[in-house]
Amino acid sequence: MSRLGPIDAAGIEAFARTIRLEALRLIAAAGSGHPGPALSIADVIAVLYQSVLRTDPRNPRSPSRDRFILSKGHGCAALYAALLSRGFFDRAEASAFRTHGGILQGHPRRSIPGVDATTGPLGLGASIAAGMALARQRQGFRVYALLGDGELQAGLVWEAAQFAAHRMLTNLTYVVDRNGLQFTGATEAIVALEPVTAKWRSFGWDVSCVDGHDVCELHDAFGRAEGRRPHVVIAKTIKGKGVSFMECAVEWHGRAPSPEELQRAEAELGVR
Amino acid sequence: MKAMRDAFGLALQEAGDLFPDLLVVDADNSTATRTDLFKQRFPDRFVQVGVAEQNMVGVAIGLAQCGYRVVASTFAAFLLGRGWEAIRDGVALEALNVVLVGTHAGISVGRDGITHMALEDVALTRTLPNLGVVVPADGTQVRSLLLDALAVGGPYYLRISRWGLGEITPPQQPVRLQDPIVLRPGRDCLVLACGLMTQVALQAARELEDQGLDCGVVCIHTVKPLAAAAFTQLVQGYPCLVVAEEHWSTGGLFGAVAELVVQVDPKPCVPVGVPDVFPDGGDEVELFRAYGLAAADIRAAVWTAMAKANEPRGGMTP
Repeated sequence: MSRLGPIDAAGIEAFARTIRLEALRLIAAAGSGHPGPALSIADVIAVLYQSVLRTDPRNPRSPSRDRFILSKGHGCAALYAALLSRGFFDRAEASAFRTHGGILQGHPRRSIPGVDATTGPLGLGASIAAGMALARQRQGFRVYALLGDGELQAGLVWEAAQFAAHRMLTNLTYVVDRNGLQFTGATEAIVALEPVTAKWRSFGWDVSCVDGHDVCELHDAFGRAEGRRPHVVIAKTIKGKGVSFMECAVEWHGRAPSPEELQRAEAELGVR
Repeated sequence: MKAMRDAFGLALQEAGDLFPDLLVVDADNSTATRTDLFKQRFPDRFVQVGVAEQNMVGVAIGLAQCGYRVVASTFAAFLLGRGWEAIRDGVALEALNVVLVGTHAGISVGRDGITHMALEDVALTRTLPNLGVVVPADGTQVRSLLLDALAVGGPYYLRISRWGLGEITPPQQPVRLQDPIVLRPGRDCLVLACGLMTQVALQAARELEDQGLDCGVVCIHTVKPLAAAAFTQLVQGYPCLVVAEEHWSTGGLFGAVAELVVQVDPKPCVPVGVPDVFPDGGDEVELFRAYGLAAADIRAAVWTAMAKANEPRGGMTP
């Protein structure tokens, strides 16, 4: 049985497309950033911000809000795009991505409306999320953290995972962006992560494996009734998803598209 | 003689009554750090993360960002060594209401040896914006400064020793963050000290008195921020300074003092600290003697500083 209401799949898919476009525009305008890691999480972020998280752009620091922590902070263009689209801040502020004096720093800062934790050093967001889930365990709202798959190589993730299972933090959900690629190559070639599902199970977590680009599957996974364990959603994704020449390409982890490349990407994403 | 960590444990219990929103986080060292006293009285407000110092600081960040006042405590060597990134990018960067308490700092760890001694923790924490750095000298200071830090709201790094060398803060002396405590006025040389070395400095000053020297002793319990105006007033009139700390002589209180002295009132300044080596473990008294932290070392430093102060200034020696 789902905790969540019915889903507007078409609406969420449109939102995800907007996130992809805005994220690429932010990165192109800044002349630097991380397109591949932003594109792979666009659908996860769209589902969270459209149908899962209880947040209010007019009151972004409301104590009772659900928390979302982008532990893979380098994917922040997608988060900023979602927050912009949801009205947490306006476009004038967004235009200053990755600039001195601009609020949208190169990795998420808690000073940005709608951003719940400063992240960037991998693993830290997972740990902060566990602390927040503990703080709010009895108050009925939830904490979500989105982790990269390369991030699972960091010991801190597993310190937090053990802790969360021990404290039965049922209000905590991690999402793993399982795109198989990290900065310098394939996860399985660098330091193999598989069997990922078995690892999380053995750490005492409930595990859902879904297609990370299927908004219905994601929605169902987030709506799973609470058990006695924290919950991790392994979202199988494609790095660079939505732009053919960025898909599954390590070199798009951390470089900005040129104006021409942006135009091609926009065309593929449906802008005429 | 009460060890500083015992004073910390008792003060934390008191803080638990004063601040209902206070949570204490431990990384499996509560019986050694004495946070177990808090746990006994407030079991629901005590968070055990196990042997996971990085996660201890991360969890502390999460709790603080949800509105709690947090004390996170374990051995200074592990808190700083492993928790550094979370301290930097969470506690300090976000200026959170967290007091990090590093216990068992310095060589007075004794027989556990070098891996358990923090000798660089003041140097590290002192570099971070927003983070106050506090090194109490006795149990009275531990209590007052901990309660003060929690009342003001963090972030602070509080450094305490396993050991104690007795109470030196006068009974009526107000102890407040940032206010250095003049323990002894003087004329010939001023000894600036923090932590256990404050007691050693007082002993050295008494011994120098027998040799006809009049040395002042000031306890700089708040190493950061060290206000230039108050500091200038403190050192005014003294021809030279000695700085004593249970820390490597690189980057700690000596570093803080030297950085300020060259800007506000240049004068000879001689360090008494652990030299640039990795010390062995052993008996505490023996270690203080072996690594240059005895009263005799402070006396020698005072004579050196005074000799430098008497050297003719300016120009190159031919």
